[in-house]
Amino acid sequence: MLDLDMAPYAAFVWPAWGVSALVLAALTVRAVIASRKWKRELERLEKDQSATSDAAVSLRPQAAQSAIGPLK
Amino acid sequence: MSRPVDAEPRPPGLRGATRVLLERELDLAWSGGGGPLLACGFFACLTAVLPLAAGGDPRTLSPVAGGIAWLALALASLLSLERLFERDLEDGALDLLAIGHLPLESVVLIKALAQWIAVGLPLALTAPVAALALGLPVSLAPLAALSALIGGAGFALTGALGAALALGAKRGGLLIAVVVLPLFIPPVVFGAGALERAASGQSPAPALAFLTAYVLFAGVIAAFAGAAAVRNAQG
Amino acid sequence: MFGLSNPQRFMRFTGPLTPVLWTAAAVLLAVGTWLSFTVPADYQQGDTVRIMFVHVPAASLGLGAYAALGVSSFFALVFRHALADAAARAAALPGAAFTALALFTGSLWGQPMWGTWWVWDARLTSVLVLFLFYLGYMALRASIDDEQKGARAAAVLGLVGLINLPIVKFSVDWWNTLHQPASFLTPGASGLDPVYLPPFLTMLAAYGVLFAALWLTAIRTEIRRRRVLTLRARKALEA
Repeated sequence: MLDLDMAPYAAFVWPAWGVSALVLAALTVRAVIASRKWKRELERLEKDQSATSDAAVSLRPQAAQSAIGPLK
Repeated sequence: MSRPVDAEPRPPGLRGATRVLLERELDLAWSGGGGPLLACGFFACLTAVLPLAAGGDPRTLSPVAGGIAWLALALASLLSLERLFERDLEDGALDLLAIGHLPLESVVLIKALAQWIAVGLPLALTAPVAALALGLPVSLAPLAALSALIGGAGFALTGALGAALALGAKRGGLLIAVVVLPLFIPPVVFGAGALERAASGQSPAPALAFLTAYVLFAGVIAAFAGAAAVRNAQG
Repeated sequence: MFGLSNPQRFMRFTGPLTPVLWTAAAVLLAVGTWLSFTVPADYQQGDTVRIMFVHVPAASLGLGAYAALGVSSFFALVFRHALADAAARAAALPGAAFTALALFTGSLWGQPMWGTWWVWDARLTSVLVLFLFYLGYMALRASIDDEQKGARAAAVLGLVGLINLPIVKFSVDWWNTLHQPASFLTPGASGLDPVYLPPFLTMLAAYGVLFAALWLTAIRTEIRRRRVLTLRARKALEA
């Protein structure tokens, strides 16, 4: 059933599928890498933020917490 | 010297304000180094170069003479678009225009009108000459001029929209071209189509009708979207 | 839908959803690919019919992404909604990629089938214009330094493009009736053998789910990015 001989159209079918696979993979990789990068950065900053604001709160109880809580 | 506060000069009114702005725009367009001549010169250069690229054979050129002329017209219309709003943004005149008598939508339209008169009209006169040089039958020259005239209005309006969108961007000239060329496609198709139809003996009226419809449509969109873009750029 | 317009609620809602979409996309792609290569070759088209299974989904999603971009731009402009703007921006690159794939695979399908790599009929020309539009959109966003201004300008362009594309399609169609292109240019959708429906529909669904995964992931990334920039700005002020 699976017959991979595309002759005489092999030169058309394989590039079409190959390039499609490559492009979709590249899109996916890029999206995932960017997502992780900013997620890490956000978590790092929010940890920093809560660390400094904890310190601030203990000294000055009326120091405001950030209006929007941490994003998951 | 004392003067009663309410003895101010009467404000010009909308018609007067329109006329003043139009005159200013035309002045600016014509004064800065021969605006219309530059566009016509560019058009002429394109007309000279394109046949060389295509081999110069009148048999290949003649059928596409109308189309090539329209392409050159579109490209030449892109000239001087960058400065349409940018100069005013830089020296603060745009802020004055925004708070002035005329609604910003009218300002956009008047600037486009000035662009049409200053650049589109000369191009419309040059277009038949160029098309004839490329092999268009002489009988079609008036049609070429007419379609270029109407199409030029479309290019001016859409071009003004592009110029407004690209305000404040780097590499404004190229950016405007990239943004605006997809929008130029309908008038180029209709305009070249009018010439094609006439060349094969049919009536160019439907094509001209569509071209006019596009211009009207572009007028509405350019006014509102262009004004929104200008407000955005001012911050 | 408007309930999701709060960024926090959006993040909470899409958090568990995105991995599901990615998994579903992977499964659908695997199944679709298998089906595409095990289905028998067409009587007329031979093995080139398999190209249809990557070509038509790519074209559909290129258009779909464009609609997503346009509608998001509308909400961004009218309601001045940051999430809508993020959605518009997130749709641009995937949409451009899908459209480019449609053009590329279409060429590869066209050459053995109809003997030509390209033809200027309404459909192909308007897809090319769509691709150019994506480029212009991304160029406009990238060229304006002020992010907010760039976003607003791009939203206007997104809307204008939405109106322009049907006009382009119509005008080129009108132009083509002048030139009477060969009618063989309607790819055999009308005479398609039902044996090709499973791979076709599976790949179409796969592309759709993949776009949804890419789009939502990009929106989430954009939300986080903006939050990071805000926090950094605040930190700089407090320092």
